[in-house]
Amino acid sequence: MSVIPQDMRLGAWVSGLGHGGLFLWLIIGGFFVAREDIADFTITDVSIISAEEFAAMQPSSPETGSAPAALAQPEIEETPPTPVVQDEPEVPQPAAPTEPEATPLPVPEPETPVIVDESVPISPEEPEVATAPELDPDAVPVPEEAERVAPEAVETPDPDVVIDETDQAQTAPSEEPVTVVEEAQEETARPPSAEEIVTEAEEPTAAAPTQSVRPATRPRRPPPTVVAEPEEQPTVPGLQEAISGAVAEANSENAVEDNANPGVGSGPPITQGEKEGFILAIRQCWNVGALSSDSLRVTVVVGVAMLPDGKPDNGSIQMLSSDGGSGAAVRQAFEAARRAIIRCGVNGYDLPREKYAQWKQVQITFNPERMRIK
Amino acid sequence: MMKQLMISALVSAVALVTPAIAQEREGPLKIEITEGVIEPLPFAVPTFVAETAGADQYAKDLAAVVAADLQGTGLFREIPSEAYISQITSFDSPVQYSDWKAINAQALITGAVQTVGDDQIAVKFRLFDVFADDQLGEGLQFVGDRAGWRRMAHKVADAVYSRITGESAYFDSRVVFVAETGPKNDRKKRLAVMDYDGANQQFLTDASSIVLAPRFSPTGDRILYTSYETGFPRVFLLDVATVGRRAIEDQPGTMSFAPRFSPDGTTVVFSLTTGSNTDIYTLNLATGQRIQLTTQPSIETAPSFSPDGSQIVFESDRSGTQQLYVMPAGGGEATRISFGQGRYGTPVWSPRGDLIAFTKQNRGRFHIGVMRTDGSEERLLTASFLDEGPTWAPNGRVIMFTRETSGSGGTSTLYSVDITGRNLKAVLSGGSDPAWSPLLQ
Repeated sequence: MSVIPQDMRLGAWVSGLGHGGLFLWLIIGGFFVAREDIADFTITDVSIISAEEFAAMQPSSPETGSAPAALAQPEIEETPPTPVVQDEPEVPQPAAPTEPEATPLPVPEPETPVIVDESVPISPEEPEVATAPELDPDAVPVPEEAERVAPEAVETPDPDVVIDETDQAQTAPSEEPVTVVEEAQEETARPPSAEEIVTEAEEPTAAAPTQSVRPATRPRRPPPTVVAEPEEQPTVPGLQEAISGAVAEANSENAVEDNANPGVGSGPPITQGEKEGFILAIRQCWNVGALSSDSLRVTVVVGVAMLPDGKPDNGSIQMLSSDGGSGAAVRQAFEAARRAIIRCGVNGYDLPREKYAQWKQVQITFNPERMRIK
Repeated sequence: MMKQLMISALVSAVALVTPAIAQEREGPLKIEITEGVIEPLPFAVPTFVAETAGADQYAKDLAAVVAADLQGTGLFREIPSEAYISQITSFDSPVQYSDWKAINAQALITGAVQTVGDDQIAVKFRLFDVFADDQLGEGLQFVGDRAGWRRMAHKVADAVYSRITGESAYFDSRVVFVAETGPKNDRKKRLAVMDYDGANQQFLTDASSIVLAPRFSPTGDRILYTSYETGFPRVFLLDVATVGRRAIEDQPGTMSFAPRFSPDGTTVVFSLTTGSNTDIYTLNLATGQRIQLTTQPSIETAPSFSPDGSQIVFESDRSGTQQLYVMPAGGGEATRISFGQGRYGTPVWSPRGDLIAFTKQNRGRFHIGVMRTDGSEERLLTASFLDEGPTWAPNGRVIMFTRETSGSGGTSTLYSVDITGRNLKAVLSGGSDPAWSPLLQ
């Protein structure tokens, strides 16, 4: 007969209790868990009405129940009658979806979501959009042709830049403006290589720093400015001077001139779009085709006084400064700029008249940097 | 406290009513224009006023040549006379600018001509900037032989061109070339000169021997060329005025060709073949001293001086293919400047000194091109079956060259093209090997 140790006896007890509990749960545990197959039920609100109220809801008694009908009817009437239906009531439209009479009931919504193309403007003035095309009942449906990506096949680009094999045609004097076509460049010369081999060790060390630079110390915060408590009395004369100065300037000659011309004044600040329009107008007349290559290196700044009607005061056009080129080249560059201002300003530039004070004097920089092709 | 509030309100009110003042303080409206248009400048040249009897035809012809010169550059566009509103009936009457503005004539050239004595005419002209309501520069007057009326017209056009573009002009210049007649297998070649526009052709040699590669001297009074009259190519020097000539290199057993003057006109650089080797030499015309500049066993030829006379560009096949090299004018180490595909030849230094024109052969096609003097920015201006032999206009803006068509009936034609590749046009049919003269004095 064997003897069971004390600690093993305790384990046997624990095991027995555990297994007993498990069996007990399998037998009676189902009563404590809700079953999934129990059908859900819904709760609806009900109201208790009287017999009189029920009778009033019946359609056979109009004298007592006009309120619900009155609520239902405006839903149809409130639907905005589209101009299509009202303008063309006689046209038979078997599938016209816009007739409210034909669709008294809401059409069941399709399950797929309706995609609204917001890019297509909805225009009530286009009845063709809403009207279904008339179908010929005898016509045999023909499948539509598959859409092509492009009306013509795209030519395969040349793998390499190839010089045209055909002889160049002789140019004839033409009155058409010459279009500038930049010549395709072929290979250009390589930069000359070094004549002797210079190793890295022999290379001058000027390019590389020999010592790292200690980062600068963090700048000290400036001492807080001591703001003196403003005294009431001394500030008054300063403000008064500012006010009086501003008023005096407002009453100056320019302001009087502006006020003398109603509709011609400073107005709000000139917009970038207005400025761009002005630039576009001038550059259409800035012809640099006959300028020398030296003149095309000259940037000139031209000042011009403008008249209230948008025309330049031709006599006021003057060169304020220039950069690059010789004296003759500067002169030709200025003359081309002057021609541009005058030619395109013959009928007046499209500038906002109410902002005349802002473009009364104009300073135009003519920079031909992007026009240098010669 | 109440007083401060009132002051603040007053300041605000003043600020609201004075934005214009603030704007004016900022100064003028400033804009920058970086793009313009490139198109021919419209101009009008009414028939010159004939101020004396017998000058009517000159008045018409002068205006026509001036208009043709300007329009031929591609930089100007003539407004037809049918569009004119005003007529110029008197050289000194004021210009009705509004009438010329109405037809968009940006430049107006008025002129007058009168006969002087029995064989001379006097031509005067003025140039106006129509939209500036002002005359451009001073009016000029030329007096010359009646036979030279075309030169006078060219001079008027030169002055107008220079005044408007800022470039030096090239209309009053001549071109020496090889006039070719007959079929390819029996072609007659003679030296000839003409105006830059193909007019006034004159032959300098007969067709008894083949002549090649004529080159004007810097003063335009002498011409170097290569002749086969001895059976071998020899370099000759021809005086334009007397048409007298002499061989400058006549060593037995050698061939000399491809001559060209130095910028000062005292020296000739040319190729000399001794045995099977061709090298570049210089020859002092005054002393007869000859200096060999290259010693490579390859073929070095087609030398051309830089305008300052310090360098020479030439072609050589020392690398295995025909390429362009630059060396000091006194000889020495040469630097290759062409690295593109194909073969390069006949380099010519621009009178401005900024570009080198050349002939390029690649994939069976010939091109006229230009590149910087270090070989960068190569640009091909033409392409055809055979384009070769570029020569620069005196202002360095236009190039003339030979274009030959293929086949047994092919012909040679002189063409000109702008250095931008625009305005390609035929100048003269039946010519080759052109060389532009300097601007005539």
